Amino acid sequence: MTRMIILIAMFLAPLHARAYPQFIGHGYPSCMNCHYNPMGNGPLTDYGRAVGADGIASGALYPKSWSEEKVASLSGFLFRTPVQKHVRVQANYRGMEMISSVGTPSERWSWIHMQAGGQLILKFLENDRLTFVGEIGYNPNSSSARATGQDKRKLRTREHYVGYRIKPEVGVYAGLMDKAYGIRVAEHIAYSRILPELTQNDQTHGVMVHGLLDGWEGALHGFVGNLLQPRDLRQVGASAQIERQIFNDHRLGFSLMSSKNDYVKMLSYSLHSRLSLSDGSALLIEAGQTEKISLGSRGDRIGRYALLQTYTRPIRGLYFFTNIEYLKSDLSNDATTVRWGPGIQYFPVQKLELRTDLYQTRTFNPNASTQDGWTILFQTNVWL
Amino acid sequence: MKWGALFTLMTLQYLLGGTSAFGGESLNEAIKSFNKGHSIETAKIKKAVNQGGELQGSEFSKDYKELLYSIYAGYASRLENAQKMDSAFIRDTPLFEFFKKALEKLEYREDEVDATSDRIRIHLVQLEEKRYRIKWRTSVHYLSWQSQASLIGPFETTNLLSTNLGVCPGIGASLENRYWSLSLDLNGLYGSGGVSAVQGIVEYQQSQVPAIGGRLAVGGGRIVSSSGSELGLRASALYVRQTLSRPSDTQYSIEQNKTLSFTASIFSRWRFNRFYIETDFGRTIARPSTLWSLGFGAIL
Repeated sequence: MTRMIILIAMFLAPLHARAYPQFIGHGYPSCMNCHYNPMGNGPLTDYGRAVGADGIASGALYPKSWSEEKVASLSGFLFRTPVQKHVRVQANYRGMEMISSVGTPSERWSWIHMQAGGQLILKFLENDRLTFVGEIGYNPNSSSARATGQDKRKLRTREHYVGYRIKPEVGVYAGLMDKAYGIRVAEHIAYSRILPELTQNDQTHGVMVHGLLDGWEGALHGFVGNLLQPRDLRQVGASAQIERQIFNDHRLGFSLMSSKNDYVKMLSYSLHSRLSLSDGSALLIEAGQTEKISLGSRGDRIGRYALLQTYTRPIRGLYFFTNIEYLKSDLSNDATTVRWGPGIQYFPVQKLELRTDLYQTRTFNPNASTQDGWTILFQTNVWL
Repeated sequence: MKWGALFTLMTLQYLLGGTSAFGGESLNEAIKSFNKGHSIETAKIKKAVNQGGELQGSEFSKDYKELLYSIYAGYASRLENAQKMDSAFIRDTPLFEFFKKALEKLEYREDEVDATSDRIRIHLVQLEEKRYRIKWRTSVHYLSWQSQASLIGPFETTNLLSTNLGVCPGIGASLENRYWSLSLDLNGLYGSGGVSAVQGIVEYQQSQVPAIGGRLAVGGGRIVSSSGSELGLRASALYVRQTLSRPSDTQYSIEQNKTLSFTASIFSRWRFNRFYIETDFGRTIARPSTLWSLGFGAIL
């Protein structure tokens, strides 16, 4: 029972990672351009930080005399240009004001410390072929963990791995990482991440092989679960994600993942596409299904999800987006949920992201009509 | 337009003094000199440019080449000063191109000709981007909305809620340039929804209640990317007929919302050449209802 509560708590904590696959709209189809992890998320490379400073963040608040080179030169840790090439240190904080059950008697406002962590990157050999990436951070308590007395104030690592590029096109990565599957959108509460269990604390120890070849990019990931978890909860299995560059600028991909622990066996598969519509505009589309076969007393279940995430950039630094999500958590049930979430993401200066999300959740059930649910999030993300 | 006709036009322009507004007297004089004062050289130039032949710069005097350059610069100035693609602009463009080609063949003041041509090309693109056009389109939207009703009984009133999903095929037109659009869309609506009581002690439930109607929408948007991605605001009138069944107990009656409602929404559109995807999210005015739609369309 305790383990189930922990699992549920991990499910519900509304944390976000730093992965922005929509930047395909800026001409970056591969996450490897900006992240040490070739599948995205986690610490940014020096180039990625410079892109964040020059290409993503607004330049409106900088002195007019500053050139793009000057701005980029401030993108290093603590606004300094690195003086050596082997060690990089990064730190970040994400916090969020969440207003849940908006407009109802149970409306609730709460500030949530989503992430406060530091990252250490060691890199060696020509073109940084050998990298070590380690991340450790404050593990905030989810509201459900607090409610159930699971007050586990401790540090947590969500990522630590060694990577070696055998050649520019092929790399091997071993350690704790996110599973290679689907589009790694920033929203951990996206149905496309909840259903296949790819949320903020679902990283796994394993070995991943990543490759790039003639318009193809993909990863094969064998994993043994998070070794810091109890053995019976660890999901052991493998996943694969492959993408093909189509019509020059776009990506079309497929993912497959199979895993099991002592309680449940899971099979997930999805099709996805990332479409670049220039000048920061992009569409992210994913549709998938997860089959969960209970190895205990609970019943089997097949769930289906779809995601359409849209982006436009009216001016540099400012993005309007919409998360449109579909969920049928159990195909044997008639009820479906559609969540519609318009929002604004603003990078006023480098190393600072302000974001507002509005989530409207509507359930379609032939047997009952219910009021829409509303949630508003105001997020702040700072990285040094 | 044939080159002969163009030069006739150019001569006419000169005779009527039409060039003075942009190029001034110097362009008028240059055109006069080009047509009348250097007939042999001009014939060679026309032949080479029109028929794609070669020219030797050394066969022409510097004064004559300078004359060509001054006409070229005169037309460039007129094009550069044009604020819209009017008839004068359309008339001047091929003449500018003619003198540009002539100077390129003569390899005279190449750097200046290239720089001027680049400037004019950029200006042409900018004028083209500002030009408004009417575009017709057809689309189909998946639309969802909620509507309220009341079940009025002898002792109490029960609030009913209907959650609907429908399909809206339709046509539309937009007046748009590279940066802005103004659009009008008319869509039919066919859908259905489940209805149940959301407050009160009386139970009421109906499934798949048909809804038919239409939507008229007016919107204005800002086009924010070179691929035509658009973000805008829209006002819609939504007409829906959806009749809820009255309970068999004659003491109960149903009072439904008016069939016509008005919605203010934010829309976004992403284009793939002739095709587009569109989303719309808004609130119904004076009713607690949210409307959203996902649409697919094509420019006709």
